Amino acid sequence: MVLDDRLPPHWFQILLTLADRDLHGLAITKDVFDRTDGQLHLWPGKLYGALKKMVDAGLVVETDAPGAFESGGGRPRFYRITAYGRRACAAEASRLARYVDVAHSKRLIKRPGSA
Amino acid sequence: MLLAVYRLILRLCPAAVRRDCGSEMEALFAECLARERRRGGRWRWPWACARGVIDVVAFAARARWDQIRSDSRETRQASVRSMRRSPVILRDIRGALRLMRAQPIMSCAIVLMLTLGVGSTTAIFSVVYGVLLKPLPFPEADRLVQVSGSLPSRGWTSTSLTEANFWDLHDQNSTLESFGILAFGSFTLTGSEAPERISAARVTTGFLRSLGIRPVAGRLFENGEDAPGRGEGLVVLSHRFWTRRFAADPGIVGRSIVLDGRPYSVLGVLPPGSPWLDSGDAFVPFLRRPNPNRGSFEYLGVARLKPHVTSEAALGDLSAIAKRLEAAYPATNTGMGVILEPSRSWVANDQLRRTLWVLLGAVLLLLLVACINVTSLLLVRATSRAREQAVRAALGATRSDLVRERLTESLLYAAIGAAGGWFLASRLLAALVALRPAGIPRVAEVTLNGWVLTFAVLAALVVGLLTGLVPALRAPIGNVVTALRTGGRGSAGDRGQSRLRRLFVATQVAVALVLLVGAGLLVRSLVGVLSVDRGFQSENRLVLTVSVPSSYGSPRLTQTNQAIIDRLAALPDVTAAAAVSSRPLSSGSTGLGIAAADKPDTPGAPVPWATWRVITPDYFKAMGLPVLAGRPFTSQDIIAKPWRAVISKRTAQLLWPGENPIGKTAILWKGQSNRPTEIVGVVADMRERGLENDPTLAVYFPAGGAMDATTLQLVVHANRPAASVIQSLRAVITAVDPSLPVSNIRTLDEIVTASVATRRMTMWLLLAFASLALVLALAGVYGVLAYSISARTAEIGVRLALGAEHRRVLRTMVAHGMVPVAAGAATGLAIALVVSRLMSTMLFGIRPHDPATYAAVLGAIAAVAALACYLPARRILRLDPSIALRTE
Repeated sequence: MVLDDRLPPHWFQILLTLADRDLHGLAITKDVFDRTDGQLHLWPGKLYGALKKMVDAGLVVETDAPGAFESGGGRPRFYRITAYGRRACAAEASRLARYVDVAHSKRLIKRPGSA
Repeated sequence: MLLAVYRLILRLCPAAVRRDCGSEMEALFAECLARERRRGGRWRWPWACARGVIDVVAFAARARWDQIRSDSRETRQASVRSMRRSPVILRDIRGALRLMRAQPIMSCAIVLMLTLGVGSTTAIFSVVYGVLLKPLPFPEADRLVQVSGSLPSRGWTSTSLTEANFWDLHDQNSTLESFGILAFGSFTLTGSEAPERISAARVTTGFLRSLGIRPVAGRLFENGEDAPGRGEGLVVLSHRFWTRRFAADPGIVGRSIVLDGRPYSVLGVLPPGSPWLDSGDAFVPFLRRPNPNRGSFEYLGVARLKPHVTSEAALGDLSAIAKRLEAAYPATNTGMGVILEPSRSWVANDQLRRTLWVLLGAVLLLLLVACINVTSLLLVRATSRAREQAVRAALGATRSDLVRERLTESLLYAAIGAAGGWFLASRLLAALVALRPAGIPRVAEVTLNGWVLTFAVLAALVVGLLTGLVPALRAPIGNVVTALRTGGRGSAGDRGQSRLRRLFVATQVAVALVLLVGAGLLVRSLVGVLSVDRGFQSENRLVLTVSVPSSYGSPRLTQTNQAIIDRLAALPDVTAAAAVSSRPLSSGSTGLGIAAADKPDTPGAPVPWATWRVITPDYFKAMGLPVLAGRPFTSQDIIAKPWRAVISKRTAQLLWPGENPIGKTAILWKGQSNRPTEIVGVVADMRERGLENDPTLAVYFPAGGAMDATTLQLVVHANRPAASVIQSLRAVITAVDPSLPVSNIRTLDEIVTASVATRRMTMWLLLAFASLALVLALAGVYGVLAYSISARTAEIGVRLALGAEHRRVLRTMVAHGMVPVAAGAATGLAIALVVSRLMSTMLFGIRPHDPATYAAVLGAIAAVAALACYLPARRILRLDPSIALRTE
């Protein structure tokens, strides 16, 4: 995948979630759901379909569960963002940020942080 | 629940994917649903479920697509790898599945044959189980007996009890725990809905107690509730009636319903079941009368033996009482005995038992033929793989490895066949139950249950082992070198194998011949039954019952009846309408002793017993009974004023052989009231008790213009199909009096058809099994010859090259193919001669060794077998020696 390509929104959100910590599927869905106020609901098929393709594309890798992790049943697989994934996510974020700047310069919104 | 569905849907995914993230997806799905639920909203929840399902289906489709793409690249390595990892049995199954896929047509043929075999066997077994083997719905049914009388002097081997004899047996016996009788009648139910004729059973309290049943609501009759003064106005409802009319409302207990204009208080509801419990709608107490009738045989007796009392002991006890009664009442009880029938014979009589066992035997034979065909197909496959097997044996596969593989293959086919067979059986059974063949009791209750499943699984297991064993044991282990040398060419040179296949063909032909003979005998019997001279005509005729309330009283009753008959007869569609005192072609009729007045009595000889009916003038016309001599009745003739009668032809021949009976006097109710009666006419005989029984002796009395009966039995002859005039008949009766219920409308055609329904069904089933067996056997004949011709093409080429004529070679080959057919036919003939004797009671008008049937079956088999041989052999005619020689 080339970095200039637009990331699908849910890929972007998954990468965003994984940017600072390794997580398993359930936690990813929950995080994305909370952050988007329920607008992006990752159903299981969509999530694992995406994760599989992202692994193939080298954006994330599967990783062992952290030692401290205790779960109810089975051992869920954790995902870790790769350096490539991090760059892709950043590229997408700055692409979106450019639109925010435009919106700001046209006085549609206030600059983030100054609200 | 939802999760279980989800798990099911997840199975759409490839196994690897499911293993990787299946459980996580389930957990996540549950979490997502919970979240959606928290969000609330009326439509949110079902929408969320739908979203989840769409999501996972899309995911599965994607995963499958990915898998197909990657498979095409690396199938081989992957499957080899997984083969090494998995246990032996899975490896065998996978191998067998691959073989099945490699030869799809052959596999389909095998599965189809097994499905047919197992399916029809399972369906028939389920009927046998439901009708013959399933226990009765009564506790400790082995202590239940049906008590009947016997009167050998009148040729009655089993007859209903009389009221007086029942009470005597009831009071004096010491071996019965309880004993009761039942008589069927009918009531008119009035109330909120339209008046309805319902069937009623009068029972003494001992009857239901003998059956040992518990009510589903309320209570049953208690001891003493058959005494006058206590039992009036009590009723117990049957489960069927309770469900149909009162929507199974338990609140009905204690309420009152109106029967024949009188209130009855509902005591309770019977459990469902047959026999008897569901055959009546309402059960009322049979009240004990001070002067019971001793001469009228109408009651069905059922008793429960005391614990540890044998049926023989009870019979001895009751027979002793019967002897005492004979001495006490010589006029009515002379020669009267008692017989007991164990409860297992209640549901199905001997005839039906035999029919069902014969059908089961036939269908098992069909299964055998199917098995043989499958075996021979598997054998062909094994032969074509002989070289491969030999190589594997040489590389170290043990004999048990190869045998296990063959058995796995055949068992796998059997399993698939059984699954298909189960489905087929369920369809066949549904069709059968929908037909509701009259004469097969409990057929509506027949289901595919655990016993049937066990049977089907066992059948499949046996089939699997049978079909697998022969090819398995012939695995070429003994002589690897020979197998390697010859096996590769797939030649039929193996003499043992060719002998085996001919043996198969012979067996199949033998079995098919036995089945065809059975079917042929039944076909001839049915034709015989349908073409007997039944005496009456059935076209465009129907019978119906109109119930007139007894409260109408004498003149109004007769007027109403008269009006109904007159108005029916006046309808433009109706040629003749008549009333009769008891319904024709139904069981239970009135009888009398008859003798000629001008002949001396033969002492000790039994008095002939004839049925009698009171009829209105047009009865003979309505039934289509030709008047052979004398005259029919007119409206001026009235019974007993003076005594005049019309008798049937057989009666006339019996009383006055070779003489003209018209004007002669007969003594009727001989031995009882001895009434001299003038004979004014003779009509044709009528086969009343079914087409297969001899016509009854019959005496007819004139009713004058009308009947004064409360239950008016009518016979109507229309000039177009009877079913189409029912509406206008109903309209006429309603016009006379709208409160009269019309019931039991049946066309005579229907009655005749129903009386042969079981016979017809048996015949069609056996014919179907026989035809299937024949087709399978012919496939075997064809296969063997086609195989041997293809293997001998080179040899034939040599012969042709050396100057043999094509025709001559063709003849030789066909003869070669017919040898096992002839052997099989001879064996089958011998077996059929023995086995057909089992069917002798099922036949009508022919003997089990009916030469015409045997000749026809033999001819048919010879002709079609010759065709099956000719078709593959025909290739020889077109064979060019120069090409044939090169096939090597």
